[in-house]
Amino acid sequence: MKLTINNLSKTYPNGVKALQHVNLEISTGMFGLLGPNGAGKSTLMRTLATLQEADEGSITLGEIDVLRQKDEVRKILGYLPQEFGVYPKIPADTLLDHLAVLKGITNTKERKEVVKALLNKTNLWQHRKKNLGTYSGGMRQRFGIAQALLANPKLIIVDEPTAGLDPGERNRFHNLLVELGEESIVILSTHIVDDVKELCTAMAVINEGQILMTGNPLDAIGKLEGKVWSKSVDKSQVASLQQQFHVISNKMIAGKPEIHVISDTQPAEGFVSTTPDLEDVYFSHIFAKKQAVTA
Amino acid sequence: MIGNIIRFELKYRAKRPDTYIYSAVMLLLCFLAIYVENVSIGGASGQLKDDASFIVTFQMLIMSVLSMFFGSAVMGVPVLRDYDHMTYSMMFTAPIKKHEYIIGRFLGSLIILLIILACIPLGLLLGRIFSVALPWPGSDTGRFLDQLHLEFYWRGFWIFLLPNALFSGAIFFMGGTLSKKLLFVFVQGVGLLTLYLMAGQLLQNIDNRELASLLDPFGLATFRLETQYWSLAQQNYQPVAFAGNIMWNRILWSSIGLLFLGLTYFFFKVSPPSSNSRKKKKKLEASNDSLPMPGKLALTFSGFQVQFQRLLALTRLYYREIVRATPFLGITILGFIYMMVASININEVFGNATYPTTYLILEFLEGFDLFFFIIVVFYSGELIWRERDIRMNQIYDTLPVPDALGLVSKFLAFVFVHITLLLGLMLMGMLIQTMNGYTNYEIGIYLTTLFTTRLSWLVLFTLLAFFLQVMINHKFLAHGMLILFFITLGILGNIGLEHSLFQFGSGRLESYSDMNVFDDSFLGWSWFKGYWFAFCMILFGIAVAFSVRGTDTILKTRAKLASMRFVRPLLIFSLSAMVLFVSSGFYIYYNTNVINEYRTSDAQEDIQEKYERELKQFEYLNQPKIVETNVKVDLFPKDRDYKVNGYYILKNRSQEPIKDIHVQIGGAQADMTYEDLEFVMLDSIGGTDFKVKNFYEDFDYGIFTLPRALQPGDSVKMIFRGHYDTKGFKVEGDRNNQIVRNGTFFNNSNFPILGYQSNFELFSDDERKKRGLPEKERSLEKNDPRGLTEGQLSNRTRFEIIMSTTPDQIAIAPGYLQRKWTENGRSYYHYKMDAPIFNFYSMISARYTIKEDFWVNPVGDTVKLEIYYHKGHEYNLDRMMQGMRNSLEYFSDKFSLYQYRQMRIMEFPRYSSFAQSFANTVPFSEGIGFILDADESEVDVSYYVTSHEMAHQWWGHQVCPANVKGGSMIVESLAQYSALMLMKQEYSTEEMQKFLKLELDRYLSGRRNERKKEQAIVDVENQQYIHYGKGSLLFYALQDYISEDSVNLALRRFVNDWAYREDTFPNTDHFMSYIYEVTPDTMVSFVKDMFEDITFYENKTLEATAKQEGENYQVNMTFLSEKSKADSLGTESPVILNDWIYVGVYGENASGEDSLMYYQRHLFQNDTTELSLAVGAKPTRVGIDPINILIDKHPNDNRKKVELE
Repeated sequence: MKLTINNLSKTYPNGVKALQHVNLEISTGMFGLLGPNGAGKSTLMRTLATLQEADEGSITLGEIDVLRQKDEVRKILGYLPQEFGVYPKIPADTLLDHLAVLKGITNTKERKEVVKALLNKTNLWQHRKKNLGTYSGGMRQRFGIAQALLANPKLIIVDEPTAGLDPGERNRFHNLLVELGEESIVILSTHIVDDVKELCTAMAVINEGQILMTGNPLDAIGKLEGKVWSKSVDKSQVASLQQQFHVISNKMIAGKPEIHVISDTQPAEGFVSTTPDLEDVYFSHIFAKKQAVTA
Repeated sequence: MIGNIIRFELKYRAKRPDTYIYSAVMLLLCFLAIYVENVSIGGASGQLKDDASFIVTFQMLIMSVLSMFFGSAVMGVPVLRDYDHMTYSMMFTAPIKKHEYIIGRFLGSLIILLIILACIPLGLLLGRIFSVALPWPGSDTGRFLDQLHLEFYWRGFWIFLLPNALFSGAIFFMGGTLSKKLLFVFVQGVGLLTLYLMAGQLLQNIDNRELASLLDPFGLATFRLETQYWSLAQQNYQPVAFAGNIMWNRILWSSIGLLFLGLTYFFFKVSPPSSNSRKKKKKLEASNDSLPMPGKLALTFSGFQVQFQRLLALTRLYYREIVRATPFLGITILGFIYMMVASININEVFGNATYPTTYLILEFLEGFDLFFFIIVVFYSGELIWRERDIRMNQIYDTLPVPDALGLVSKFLAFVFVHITLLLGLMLMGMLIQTMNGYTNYEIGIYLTTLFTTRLSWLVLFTLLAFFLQVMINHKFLAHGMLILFFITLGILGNIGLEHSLFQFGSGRLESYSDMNVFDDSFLGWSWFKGYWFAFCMILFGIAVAFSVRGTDTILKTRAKLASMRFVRPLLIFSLSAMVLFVSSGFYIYYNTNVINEYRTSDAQEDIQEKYERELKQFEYLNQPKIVETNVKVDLFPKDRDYKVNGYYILKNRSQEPIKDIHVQIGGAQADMTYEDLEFVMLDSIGGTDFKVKNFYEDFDYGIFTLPRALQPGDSVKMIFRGHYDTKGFKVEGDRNNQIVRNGTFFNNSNFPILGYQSNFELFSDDERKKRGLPEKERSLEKNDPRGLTEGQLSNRTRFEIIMSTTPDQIAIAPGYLQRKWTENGRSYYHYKMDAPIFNFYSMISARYTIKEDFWVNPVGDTVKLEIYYHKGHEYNLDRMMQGMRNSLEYFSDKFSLYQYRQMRIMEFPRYSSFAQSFANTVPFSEGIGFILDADESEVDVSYYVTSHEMAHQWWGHQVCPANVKGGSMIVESLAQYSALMLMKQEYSTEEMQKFLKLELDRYLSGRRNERKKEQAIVDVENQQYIHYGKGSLLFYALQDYISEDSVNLALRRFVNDWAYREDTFPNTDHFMSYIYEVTPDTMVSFVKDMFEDITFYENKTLEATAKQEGENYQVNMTFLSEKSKADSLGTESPVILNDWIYVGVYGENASGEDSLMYYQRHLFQNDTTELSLAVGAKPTRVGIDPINILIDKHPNDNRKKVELE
């Protein structure tokens, strides 16, 4: 099954262009959608999840017209929104069972098994009798993941899934996703580059409603091989260096800024070549876009 | 620092739109309430002006209760806000002391609240000023006082609004601050409302009024108590005073407010909200992430069973969400507590309790409607917004379920909530019955009533609320719109849309009656409910299409989605609802307007005005009298129809020939159709050749010219034939409850009447003024010759009637049964009087059981006594029978011989609550005497009413007063007197005192509601509070002062001179002359003051001490005694006191009860009087006029405890 997004645009009533002529093709497996906050990730995800209308363009999932045949999409969809809450006075297993009914698992025995498996996989089994109102943020997030995975979805959309999870939980979740990615399309939106690097076979970078790049993360990294230079500098120098070079990132390492610059050759004294990672890919695209805008 | 916090609060509020919205709403509502003439809060009309002191204060109080919702919004949030916006950490790390923070926030918000409340008097004031300066076109500026009294507005503000703001503000502030939940504040608001309602309930019972006046947190009950006996003049001009009960109530609630503020300070913790960690449940086994996911799952998304399973799951979830929510429980519990408190008043009639029959309990349970209303308004919002409020909507909206499922399941959940509450109410009803010792629960009636009318109303209302919530898509705005919707509905009638087709949710089952069950009212009810249900289904269809699914909320996108959702199932659903709505609407219209006649009240008033303008010229036209009546009435109870044919003999009793006969055909009921009306001359020549001179189609009024003038002493026979048909059903309120399946009771006002009927005229002076008609005189002057030659019950006629009905029923009319037979499967009854009776007779038919007895009169004739009653209503038959026998005995002995050989009481359904005396026939409502739970020792209403109606066989049927002012005193006050004398024989003085206390209350509060003019009793213009309430008191005092024997002697002479006269009828001057004849000279002025003026006493015991002197006690007393007279508007002026007034001393009797050991009249001539007297035992209390014979607006301060020295 293949998800095809064609020329998708969306402008909000306040004038914000959330999506501009987005084209994407996503196949079975894990797909990472990278972008800064406000880039349009969530808009795209919500549109895919039948929650939002598009102004123009089309989306097809196999034979299904996603924008019109919403019911068909929902039957095979698992969705974890970026922000969500739950009924505070209901225990986890009850609510999950309830959602399973609504997701079409009508057989009681099957439903019990699914609920049990998911609660185990999300490490909530021992908390299943607690009211959801008493859950911590991480536990609630795990519950959100569990409900998204009910009923063997063919299209899984998870919006910032690892926010609020500790490293152990995150790993556990990643394993789970990879397992599912063998048979389904899993779209993961995040602003954490490592998530994509670790999980995804395909990715896209989105900013200001536009897709800046698509492809395989490793290929993308390969393209930057030998072009990324780094230097540890003083805080006061950052501004002038940004004027001079293609600075794509600037982060603090042990209390001192370290800047990354893209250049085919060593840009200046003191810059050392570093192995590019996905973060450099991400920033190079975001940066390039910004350059284009200011130019 | 406090100053800074207050300033911050004020600045913050100044930027908030709600501050302005609340103020504007208050200002506008109050302005419009005055400016628009049709809107009237508080009952100003006639002589009570729109800006009267009472009206202004009352309006301010009502608005003060309403403004509580704004109060909770303003006062609940100041601290809460810091938590909601997460600014608390910034707040509490700043160097502010706790008391500064609390007091500053409180005062700042209070100032805002006071500004909003100040808009109430301001709006009223502006309304008053603009109405006079720039009146609404056609509005009447005479509805205001001559001068503007600013004082009324100012006093209302500081005496009521200010303390209300303080205490309600403090309570809401505490609730919001300590619970940090706005919902909690809301429940507090409902709690205050409940207290107010409870106070209103307590106020109904005369003995609980003091408690009620303290309990009402808003002071409305207090104000009503303080003004309960205010005359028109006082209501208009007397400003409310900060004294007495009002002062105590205000002090009490202000202190409670301050106390709550203190508690808020004490319990408030300067800390972030604690995450509510519950006790850990027992550890469950740990997760195991190697557990495999189940493989292939069988997923199903369609099919009835699947949808049903999901519907059930969602419904159950929402149901639990509601019933387990704390605010819901809070509101419900408050409602139930309120109902339990209210149950102490269940249907008290004159201090008598009725049996708490199931239908009475069901009517009582309607008191819970307000709580239903609150629950629906509030929880419709909560349910519709549930997923969005907890931010689970994105998960829910992507579930593979149909669009309608969510709304349908929410609706069903609400229906189950209603069912739960209704069952709870049913249990409470049974509990109340059990507590009152009544165990005939009649669960069938509970279920049929609760789950038809109540539930259907709730369902319609819930659907409407859902629709508004979905469409408006803003929870609080939708709440407001829903409330606005009902306010609008209330005034729809004023703009001419009063037809039930416009009145949302209309369609009412007729009140349940044991005799007649619901009659045939299910028919109209189901059509109306079907119509509104269809209407709501259309709304629901639209709501489903427009309901928000996903994150797009702008209307344009929703409309686009809606058009996509209007596919097959929803389309079919909506279209069928539309078809049902339109077709039922047409069918209802056909019933109410085509086969029945429908008139708006404006149209009705137009007709009345026209009637008066065109026909009043004929009012005192010389017409013949009906001297013989002979009718045949065939009743068809199942169809609620009847036929009548018969004739009158009209005789010219005047000295002038009469050419034209004026006939008001089909008097009171438009459904009566007359197919025939003819005249046959009975003079020596004869002839039937009459002509229709003029026929007024609009009012069924015909003028017929006889072949030749009817000479004095000659007669003409008037033959008529007509029928009454019940066709289909009518609009709510137009139902004719006289002609019913079981318990038909109507009188001859449906038959042709001679001449112009002044009782068809418009009665309200305000309405008459608007239409340019002169003020209506209620009666003719006392000595008007036109009135003196006409009895109040017209004149006497020979009477004969044949009634037929179905064989299961008995038909009854005045007269002696001549024959009874069956023919063609119908029962016939032939009644005939052997002496003329007034042309006023009842026709009755029902399935009856008969209780029989007899009484032998002093000359040895047997009088047959019968009670026709509904089987099962045996409770008070013996008392009623006793009442009949005792009345016949006493009245025959004291006044004159009973004139008939039979007396019958007939029970009729409880659509009205009265008994009425026709010749030897008394129809008596099911609702007032038959289901009374009478206590042996108390004055019981069935006995009282029976003797009152019996007395009318003398006062009314033997002596009929002239049709002038004061006439109803001769009929009604004398009947009250007669009944009182019978009761006096049966009951103790204390019981009589209780009864008289109620009569005093009836008089004084009736007087308060007078809108035209009060009259002295000898000039009474059919004012019930005077001829019943005051009449009882005056005649009781009279017989006490001049003795029962003297009064009876006067009455005996009066009857002797005036009974059965046909030429002229007595007025109160005639009557009073008999009274003065038996009154000692020293008492004449006293009696005159009572009867011919409006006189008040203000008696009070100021001091009472006693000293033991040997065996005896010397009692020293100081009394206050003032006397005043009032004019017709209630302006009082003092008069010199020179009256004999009772002084009483109480002591303990043998059985330890307080009883009078000294009771003598003393002459009082000064304001304060000191008295000293010796009694033989230890005195407990003393009193001036201790058993309240005289009319005194403060009857309770007459007695005082004795202090022993």
